[in-house]
Amino acid sequence: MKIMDILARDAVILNLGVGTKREALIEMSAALAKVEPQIEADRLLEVLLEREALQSTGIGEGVAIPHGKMAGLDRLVASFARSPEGIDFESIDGQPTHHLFLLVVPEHSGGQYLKALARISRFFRDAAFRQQLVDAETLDDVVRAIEEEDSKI
Amino acid sequence: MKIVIVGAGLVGTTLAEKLSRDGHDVSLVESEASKAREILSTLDIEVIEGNGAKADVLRRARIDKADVVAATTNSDEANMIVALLASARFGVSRIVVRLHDAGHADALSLIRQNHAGDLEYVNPEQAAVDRIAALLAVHGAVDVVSFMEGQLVVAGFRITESSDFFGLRVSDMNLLFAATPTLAVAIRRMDDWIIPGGDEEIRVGDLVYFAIARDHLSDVLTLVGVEKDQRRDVMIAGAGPIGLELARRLEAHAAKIVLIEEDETLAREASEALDDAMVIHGRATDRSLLEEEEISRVASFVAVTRDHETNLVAGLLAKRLGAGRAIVLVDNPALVDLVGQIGIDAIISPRVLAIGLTLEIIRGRRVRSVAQLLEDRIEIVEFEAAKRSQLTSGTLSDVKLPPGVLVAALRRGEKLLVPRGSDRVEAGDRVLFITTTENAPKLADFLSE
Repeated sequence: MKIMDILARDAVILNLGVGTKREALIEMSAALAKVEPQIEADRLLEVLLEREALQSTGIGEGVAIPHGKMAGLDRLVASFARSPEGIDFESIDGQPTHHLFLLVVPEHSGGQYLKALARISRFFRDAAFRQQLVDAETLDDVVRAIEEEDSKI
Repeated sequence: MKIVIVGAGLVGTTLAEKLSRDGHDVSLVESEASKAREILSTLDIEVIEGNGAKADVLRRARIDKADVVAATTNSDEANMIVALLASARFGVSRIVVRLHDAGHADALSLIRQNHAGDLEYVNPEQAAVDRIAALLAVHGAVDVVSFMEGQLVVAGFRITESSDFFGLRVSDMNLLFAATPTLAVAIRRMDDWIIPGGDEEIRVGDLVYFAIARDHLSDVLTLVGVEKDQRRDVMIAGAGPIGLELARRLEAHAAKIVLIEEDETLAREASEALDDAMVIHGRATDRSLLEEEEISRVASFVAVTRDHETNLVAGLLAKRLGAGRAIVLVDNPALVDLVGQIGIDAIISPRVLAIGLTLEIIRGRRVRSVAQLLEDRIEIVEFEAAKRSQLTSGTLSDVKLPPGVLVAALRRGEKLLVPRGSDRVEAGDRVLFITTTENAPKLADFLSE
């Protein structure tokens, strides 16, 4: 599975405003709902917050992978947001979060869901990839970084 | 506790070693003089030379003071006499008997009728069949152990480049798969066994044991990257008690089963005892025979003949000829190391299984299950939390578990959780601990407080 295949590139946010975890998720949900007719912003936000309540998806090193399952969706959808200032995402290492990769999947997607999560978190294990995202000036730069990483594994 | 173990074979000796390391007062009784002397000279255990089926010998082992007696000789009859004496003559409350023939359980139940405490038996062959059946049910696993009435499995997988786990950090898995309890509980990397902390990264070539909720097993298998095998056929070499019982159990699942037996009488008996399985009289190491029986269509080849070297050779041959995976019975701990290195997928050791089951009974009621991973370096303990114990005195980060002990899972009622530091264990909860064998005594001490 390639991440580019599921990334909604028009929902990518290069500069999230400073704010809370909740505000960041509201902004990302709204952006994704705008380009993805199967997704309703309020419902997505609810799903993501529910998952965060179980355990924060801030995996450290400035990365969070908020995710959840949604009824009525027929495929995996992802989006990305960058916060140059950093957001308090209640990360495992207590550090501010700069990269938010959102994943939303159909209700019954079992293995594929986990595969995508594993793949995304593996991308972010690569410090060079994280730096490329920090340095990206345009949406194309972001897309290029992800494409490159996609072709590696 | 004062513990008397009768029979200094591999099972008896290993138990004696472990239990004395746990801090118990252990006496080992052995009738063979040379064996007794050898153990005396190599291990720091009290050894009494003599026939354990005799009261005066048992008395020399101070059985009258014993809390537990384990009869682990190779003879079912001798073991039962030990049990009878321990129960009727010496009033020992907890007795464990190794029985190779489950048919002897009837006689044992007669002893139990007048017994005031616990009297249990361990059947290594039965345990082997259970373990093989569990392995067959989890495709691609090298080792599988069930806990919490089957709700949770701990399964070992070799990580290849096609696995989605490779490159992942253990803490990432914990955070991201929070809704799908999947925890890496032990890693064998080269010659080391690691109980991974959050920062540990999974590498190609690792043998990783995961604790997985049974309901999520198929999801996790896709992550491991084992390719689905459409084949269902099973070939079993050896129609001894293990092979026969396994064939009988698998018959119910309607897969095609071929059972190969070298001994003509055993082959005939097996063929009469089984309905659907096909029984072939022949040698498991006979290449043309395997080919004739379409070994290349076989998903799993299970070698459980009496001869363990034959099992290894047959397993390798079957793999070479296209069998999906080879599971072989080898009771020699020194050979266990060979798994994976030479292409065998899983090794079954009835004696190692018997050791785990016996420990479980000896350690007592709240310990529900003890399993040792291969090579006896890691122990998994399922425990039922008691009221007012140290374990339930605060959150998991507060209760000061011994170092290196991992809490892998917690079951409260029907709910299975991956416990976090902020969680509190309540009385009645089932908790699964992972520990190195060296730290097992510290864990046992902690749990008894």
